[in-house]
Amino acid sequence: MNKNNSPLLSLKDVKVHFPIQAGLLIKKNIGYIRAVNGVSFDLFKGETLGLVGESGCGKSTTAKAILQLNRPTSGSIKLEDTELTKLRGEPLRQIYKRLQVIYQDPYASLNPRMTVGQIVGEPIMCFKLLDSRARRGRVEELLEIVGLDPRFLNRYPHEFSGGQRQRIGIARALALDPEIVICDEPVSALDVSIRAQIINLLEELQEKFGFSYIFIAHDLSVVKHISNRVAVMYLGKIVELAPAETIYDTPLHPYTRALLSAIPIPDPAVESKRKRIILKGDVPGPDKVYPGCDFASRCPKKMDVCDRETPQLSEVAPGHFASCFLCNGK
Amino acid sequence: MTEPILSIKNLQTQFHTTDGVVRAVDGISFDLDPGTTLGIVGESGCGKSVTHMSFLGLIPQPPGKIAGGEAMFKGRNLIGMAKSELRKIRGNEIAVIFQDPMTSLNPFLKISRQMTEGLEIHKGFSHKDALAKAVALLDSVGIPSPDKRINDYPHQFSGGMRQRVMIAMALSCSPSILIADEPTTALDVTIQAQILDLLKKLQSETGAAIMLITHDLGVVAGMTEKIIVMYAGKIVEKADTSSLFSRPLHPYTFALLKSLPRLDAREKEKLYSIAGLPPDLIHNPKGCKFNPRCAFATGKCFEEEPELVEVGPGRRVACWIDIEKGGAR
Repeated sequence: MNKNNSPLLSLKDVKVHFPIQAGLLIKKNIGYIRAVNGVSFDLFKGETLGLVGESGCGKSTTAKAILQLNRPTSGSIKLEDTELTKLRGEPLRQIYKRLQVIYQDPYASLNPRMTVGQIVGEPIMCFKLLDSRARRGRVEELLEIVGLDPRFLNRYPHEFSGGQRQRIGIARALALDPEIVICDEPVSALDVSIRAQIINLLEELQEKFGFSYIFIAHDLSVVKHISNRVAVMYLGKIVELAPAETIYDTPLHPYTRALLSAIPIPDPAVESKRKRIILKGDVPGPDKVYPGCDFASRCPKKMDVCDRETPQLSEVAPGHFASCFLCNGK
Repeated sequence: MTEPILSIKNLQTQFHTTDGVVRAVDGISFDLDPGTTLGIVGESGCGKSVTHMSFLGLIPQPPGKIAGGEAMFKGRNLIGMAKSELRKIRGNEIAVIFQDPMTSLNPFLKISRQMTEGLEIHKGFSHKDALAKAVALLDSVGIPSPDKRINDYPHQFSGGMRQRVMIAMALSCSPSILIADEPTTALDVTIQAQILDLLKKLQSETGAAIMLITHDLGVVAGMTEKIIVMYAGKIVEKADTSSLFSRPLHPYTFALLKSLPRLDAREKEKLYSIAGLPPDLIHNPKGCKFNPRCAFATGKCFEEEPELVEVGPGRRVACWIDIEKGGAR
């Protein structure tokens, strides 16, 4: 990881709002779901940035916004010097040579009517990079890289287990030698014993090919293991961003603290000594506007200022960003 | 020693399919002590849910078949009991909280109707009394303004709230056994912490025995006194919680614990991974079912299936190898 270089991918105040419509014939906007509400971060070459948060906090929408599958409402997403949010048509299509994705559900993300060879070879075919013979060779090579038997080429997805399917999805993402791979909950649907296989594979591939990951998961222990830096999201915003060890050792935002304390550790000796911060209530809906901090309604350390003003994400220690009045000296 | 409240002996459940017989639960035995929490851990398809569904008569027959075994509850065998008798126990003395709070509540009925049903049938409450009791139960599981929420439909509750409703419903007839089948798997971590906390609190108040079924070793670590580890329809290890985690004796438990990324890990090291896949339960490997994936397997493991034997006080393991000494047991 080289931080002196300029970032490979840079997000500035990205917002994705979905209109809520009502009315039978004449649709009227009656409000907005603020799925992503001002997210900024940089991704450097060769690093893994973890994105964690509970369901509905906007992790996947952020990923889709980067991939331009949901066009951002406002803000900028730059891949080196290219502004992705302005791209249309062919130039946009070309960025997928550099930007690829692995999805959560290995059952839904592979076309059941295509063979493994067709699935993995499709990106190569779309960009007309190799003739059919060379493509076959490349697909065999890719299958071998992800630990599958190249003879499986003509089989269909239903013949594979969940872990093997996820390997097929990884092979497809690697087909074009991308620079950034976005992993959207790649191991959440897998069993514990298979999960470790896939995490190790993802790490080996990164060592070998040097690409950057944006690793999205709700499981903080998996994210901590694989990431260099971790960003914690709550209600469409990043509330804390820091190197993986720092976020575990000295979490600053009350939400990060609660999230960490809520994760059970598989060791009864450690578990009996831990103090659990139990948050009250549920995550409020993203369709409302709050005058103050979004977390104020559940925060155990709420102050008066939290109801009035919105904290900004600011650097509280070198490389450690948090958006909370507790650590911003107010 | 206290008498166990539930005693399972050599339970076998099979499913007859066109491809062959699936031995989903293949001869398991265990006891549940009153007032304690027993954890059942394993991966998907290892038979953890089929176990409780078998003795509660929730397995559709056919294709399912309880091929043998007994489940003694308060001196009565639940296996082979008449349906009408079993119905008096189920939901009354033994209650279940299912994994998915979205699908285990009826979307067409108000919470009030679903919560009072058990009380009226099992305890003979009048509708009015049952309603009052239901409101009190919702209050005890921490649902704000329960007298209003009782008239809501399930979709008006969030996932965590729905699971609270399920828990309130399960507790309505004060069961002596509460079976929690992956109660927090569908929930977010902060909500999971709330629900686990609630289960612990309610157990100390009601004294019910809990059978906690989960694939998450982290959840059982803080919740249980004893743990059963299942693999491919068999119990491979049985121990009290602290010794299972500090000294796992079966290679599968050992590997499972090592393959978990831990939040409190100091150094970043490669995760230990278990090669291969669980068997498909129709074509079981010869000998020990774990042998194709086991790092310790030797000659005997491929020939004979090990029995679950006692290896220390309260510890049982089904393995030919002593993984601590590295030789035959």
